[in-house]
Amino acid sequence: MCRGALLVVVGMLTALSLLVSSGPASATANWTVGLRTGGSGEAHAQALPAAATATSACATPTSGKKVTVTWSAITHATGYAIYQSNTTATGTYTLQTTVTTTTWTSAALATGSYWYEVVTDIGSNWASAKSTATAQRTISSSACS
Amino acid sequence: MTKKASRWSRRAKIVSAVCGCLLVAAGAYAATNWVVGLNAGSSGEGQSATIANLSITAVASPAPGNVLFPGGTGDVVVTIANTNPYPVTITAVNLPTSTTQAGGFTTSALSTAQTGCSTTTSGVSWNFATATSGISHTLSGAGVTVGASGGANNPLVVTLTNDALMSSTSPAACANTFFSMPALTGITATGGAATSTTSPATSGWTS
Repeated sequence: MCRGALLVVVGMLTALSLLVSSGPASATANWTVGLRTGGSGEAHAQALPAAATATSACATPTSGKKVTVTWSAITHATGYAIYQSNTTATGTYTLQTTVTTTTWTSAALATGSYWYEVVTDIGSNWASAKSTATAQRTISSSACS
Repeated sequence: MTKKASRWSRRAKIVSAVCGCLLVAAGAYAATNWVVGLNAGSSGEGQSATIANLSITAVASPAPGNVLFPGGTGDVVVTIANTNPYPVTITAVNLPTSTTQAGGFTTSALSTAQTGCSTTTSGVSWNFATATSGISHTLSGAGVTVGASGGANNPLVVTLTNDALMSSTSPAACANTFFSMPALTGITATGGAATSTTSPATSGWTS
C-alpha cells in the first residue's frame, strides 16, 4: 500500500514536471480582445473668441483724411469684421469690411467724428463680442486728428 | 513472495503510477485552460479566442491646451478598462463614418445636453473618419497596453491627440461645450504578457 502511494506521488511529480516545462503563460499570447458596445471618449470646444483690443489712428499724411484701425491677433481667428459709427460711441455701427489681417485703413472720410469696433470671427458661425469702441477720430475739412 | 503476489504487486505499481499521472494531468488542465464566458460582441477566430471585451468610456475632458474650434482639431480623452487577468494591447481602432456627429453637453459630466449642439448639428466627429463605417486606424508607436485586472494602469487613461475634428460651420451654441464622441465600432487588441502603458498616456492615429 505504501509503495502504491509512493508510486502515485512519483507519477504526479513526473506529470507536473512535464507541464511546467511546456509553460502555461504562452496560452494567452494570441487571444483577440474585442470592444464592448458604446466605446467612446470626451472632447471639449473652446469658448467663443475674445474681443480684440482695437485702436485707431489717423493714417499719414493726415491730409488724406483716412483712419487706420489696428487690433490684437486672436488665436484661431479666421477673420475680423470692422464696424464704424459716425454718430456717437454708442450709436449705430455699420460693417465696413472683413479682413484676415490685424489692421485696416478706411477710405477718405467726410468731415465728422468716427468710432470703430472690431469683431473676431472663427469659422462661419462663431463671433466674439465687439471690441471696446476705439478713441474718436475727427475729420476736418483738411485733415484727420 | 509467491509468483501471484509478485505479479499483482507489479501490476499495482503500474496502475498506481498511471493513476498519479492522470490525476495531475486533470488538475493541470483545469488550471491552465480557463473556461470563461463571452460578453456580447465577442468573437472567436482560428487559433485565437476572445475573452472579456474592453470598455472604453468618456470620463475626463482634455486639457485646455488643445481643444476644438471651428475648422480645427482637438484632443479626445478615453478611459480603457480591462477585466481580463492579463494585459491587453490595443494597436488600432475602428471609426464610425465621418457624418456621425458627437453630442454636446454643458459640463464634463456629459449629463445635460447643450441646446443647439446635438448629434445632428455639432459638426464634431472623429478625425480621419471616412464615409465608410468600421475603417481601422492604427495607433502611433506600439499602441497602448492596459494592465491586467487588479493590476497597475487599469483603467488606463489615454489622450488621443488631435483625433476630434470640428467643422468650420459648427454653430455658436457649441462653443465651450463638452462632447461625447461617437462610439467606436471596434478595436484591434491582443491579450497576453506585456508591459502596461503608464497612465495617463498619449496616443492617437494620424491617418
